[in-house]
Amino acid sequence: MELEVIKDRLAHIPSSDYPAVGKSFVHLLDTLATGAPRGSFYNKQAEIVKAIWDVHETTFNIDRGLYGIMLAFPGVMDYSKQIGMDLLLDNPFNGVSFLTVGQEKKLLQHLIDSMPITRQLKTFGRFADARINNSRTRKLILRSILNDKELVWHAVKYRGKLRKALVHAWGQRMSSILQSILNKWGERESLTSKEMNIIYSTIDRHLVDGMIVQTTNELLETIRFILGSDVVENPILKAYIDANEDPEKLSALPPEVAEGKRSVFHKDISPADVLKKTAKKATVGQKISMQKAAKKAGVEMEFDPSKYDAVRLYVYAYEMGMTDEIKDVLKVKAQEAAEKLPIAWDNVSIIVDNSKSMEGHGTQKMRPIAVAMAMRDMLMASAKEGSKVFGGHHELPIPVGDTSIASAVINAALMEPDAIFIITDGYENAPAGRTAEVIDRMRKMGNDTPIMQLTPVFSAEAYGTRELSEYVPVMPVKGPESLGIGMVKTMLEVDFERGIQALANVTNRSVPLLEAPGEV
Amino acid sequence: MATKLNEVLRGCRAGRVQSVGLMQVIPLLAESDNRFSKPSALVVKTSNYGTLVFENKETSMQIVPRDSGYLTKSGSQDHGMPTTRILESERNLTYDGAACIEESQGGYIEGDANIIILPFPLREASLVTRDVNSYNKLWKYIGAFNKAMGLPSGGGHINIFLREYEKQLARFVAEFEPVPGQVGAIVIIGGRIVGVERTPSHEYWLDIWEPMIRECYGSLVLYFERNMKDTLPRLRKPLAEDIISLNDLATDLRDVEELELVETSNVVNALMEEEFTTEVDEERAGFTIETLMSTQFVGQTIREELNVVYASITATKDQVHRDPITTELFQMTP
Repeated sequence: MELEVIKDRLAHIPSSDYPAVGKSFVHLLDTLATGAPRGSFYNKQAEIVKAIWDVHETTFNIDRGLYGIMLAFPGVMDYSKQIGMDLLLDNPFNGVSFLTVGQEKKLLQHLIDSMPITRQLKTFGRFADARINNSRTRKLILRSILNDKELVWHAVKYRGKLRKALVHAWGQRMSSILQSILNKWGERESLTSKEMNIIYSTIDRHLVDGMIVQTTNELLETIRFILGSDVVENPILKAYIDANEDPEKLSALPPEVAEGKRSVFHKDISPADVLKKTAKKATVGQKISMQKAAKKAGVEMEFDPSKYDAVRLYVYAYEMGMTDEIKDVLKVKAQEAAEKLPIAWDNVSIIVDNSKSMEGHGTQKMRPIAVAMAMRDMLMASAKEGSKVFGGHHELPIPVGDTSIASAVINAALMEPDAIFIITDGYENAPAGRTAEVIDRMRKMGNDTPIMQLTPVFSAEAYGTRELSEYVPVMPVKGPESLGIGMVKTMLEVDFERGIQALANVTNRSVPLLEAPGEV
Repeated sequence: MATKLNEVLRGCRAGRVQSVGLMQVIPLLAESDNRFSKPSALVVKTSNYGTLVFENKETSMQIVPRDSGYLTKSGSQDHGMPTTRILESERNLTYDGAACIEESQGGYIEGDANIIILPFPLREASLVTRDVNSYNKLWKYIGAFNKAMGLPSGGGHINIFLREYEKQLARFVAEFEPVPGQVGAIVIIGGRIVGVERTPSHEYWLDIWEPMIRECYGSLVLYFERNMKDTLPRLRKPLAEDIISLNDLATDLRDVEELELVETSNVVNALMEEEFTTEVDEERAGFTIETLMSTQFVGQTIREELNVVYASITATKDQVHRDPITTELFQMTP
């Protein structure tokens, strides 16, 4: 996107406000990459949620369009997208925005499409709970659900959540009318013209071209099932109903649905038996997360490591152990990620903080150190000539003990690298502030080796990431793919307009929002 | 009877000092004695105002920490326990000398309490009044403490302080980390030793660590921060300003770390010879609970013959009081 176009679209923000606005967006980028509504090693969940919302609302109120394109940036967490969608849909478009109304609509569809089905349904549930019920929201929900190519499979897994979303979109009254119409058994041709019009206005007009002819009957039956009817002919939907009585039907269902049915209707069958019957139907995500349960049950559940990102593989390896196959895949992924970096180096030094706080907490356990390992691998692969690692050179270093980074910085600098990366949560106690002192002395003696801090956690009390030194830009990361956010952040701090240009250009690769000025 | 601190810490060795702001923590490492469950496993109730009932439902013994506080979110009056106690497996203990720490809140605790360690400035008063059977005995001290922290005195409501300073207290948990094998710590604030804590095992320590560093010692740091003008703690040394090469920087860093270690060791070693008078509080299940006093410290230990399994020793107002600006905070202690 041309810089002149950027300037034109930013005309409503005084240039004197750029430093403050840049800072707000930097905070937002920190939050988008690391903020998750789970407690960290240090902060309780409620603190983190409030801190995240504060940052989102501040930047939304500056410019909803700029705020929106940041949500489409690669590496943004789904939780951040959910908050963004709440804000964009709950607040009417008022014309003062970096994006046009059509571009914002496209953005919203992209955001929902980029999430897995579970998160999509959770998002729709949030709309219902928050009573966000305008036309844009209804269309978004219906377009997403009705065009789902795997709706039958999702219907048996998430029947209740789908029902909630559809009833919210159609309203209780229209949902009841539609259910009555769909309960009339038979082909579409048996319906009256008034009923056909209702089908058209509630379902057909939200379908992408090409779906109307081929899948209408299956779609109608699935919607009828979702809304509560047990009269079905589709084999999967029928297996769902029949499995209450007939345990043989469990094998046709997804593993977790089958297990749910077993625990209620067939307690005499063991969970291990159900897992054996349904293992082949597990999703890609389930195949890695159910390894422990499968091993315990004596069930072989193979998974293909190449289908998972590096961080997930490291979390798995910390739980189940490293294998040669995983090591090989990690090497390939590191190389692929390194090739996508906007900057390449000849030599890098990498300092890994493997203190106890990098262990993470609760549902995020081992995730910070897993992110550190994935980043380490990528940075090593990015160095054309060589690299040196301090603190995290083992295959799976165990986070333990206190945090001493200062001496590692000096040792790293003595290698005369092109850049030093410090992968840390930012908490230092051996002693606190020593790294800042060391870097200060380095700068004063004329050593200007670039030093960058990569931080894999979100700290609520810092409203962003926690910095080791004022000389060291901090880049929040959730994995190798989110390093780009850090690069953009650095530019937003030094040159706001070029930072926005970089942001828009990167975002446009994944969702072409900005093809032409004035596009509606 | 008398004892010295080096006897209380026999079997412990020091880990690397952790230092953030005004606080330094020297981890104490030792073999774990796994005969005791972690404190959060205790079921804690009140049967009357000023009476705590501890239920040990575990198959191992329990140690009730000295100056532990029990806070609930439900409508019950929070309480503090001024003394340590031992509890055999699957037994109960009733203590009538407990203190209410939430003055105008009624209601009994029903087993849903979270454990804290009382804010440091209350601990001396709590211990020395442990045998006073009066549930309101700490209210005036809590009120004075709240006022000293710039809050409305609010009577005997510890929650006024805890709520107001919740975020600041949370940072201490972030900044200090338990290390493998750690069973206790020596805590130094503003260059003076303010606490020596020892627990029977690493598991016990991990369980009590957060309330210890947060509500207890963190509260003292917050008071110091309101008043101290120094930017570095007394035992923290700066690097030289005129360094011209990386090798010189590496050397200077090593020298500074060595100097800090020596000065910290000097402070700690001076303490090891501190002599305490001891008074037996209770003998139970083969263990002896003693209260220790010196001019600078008060505390308690639990011994099994010569082996100390638990110790909690904190500085008196005189020890902390060496700097005039802290007078106000400690005027309320007896």
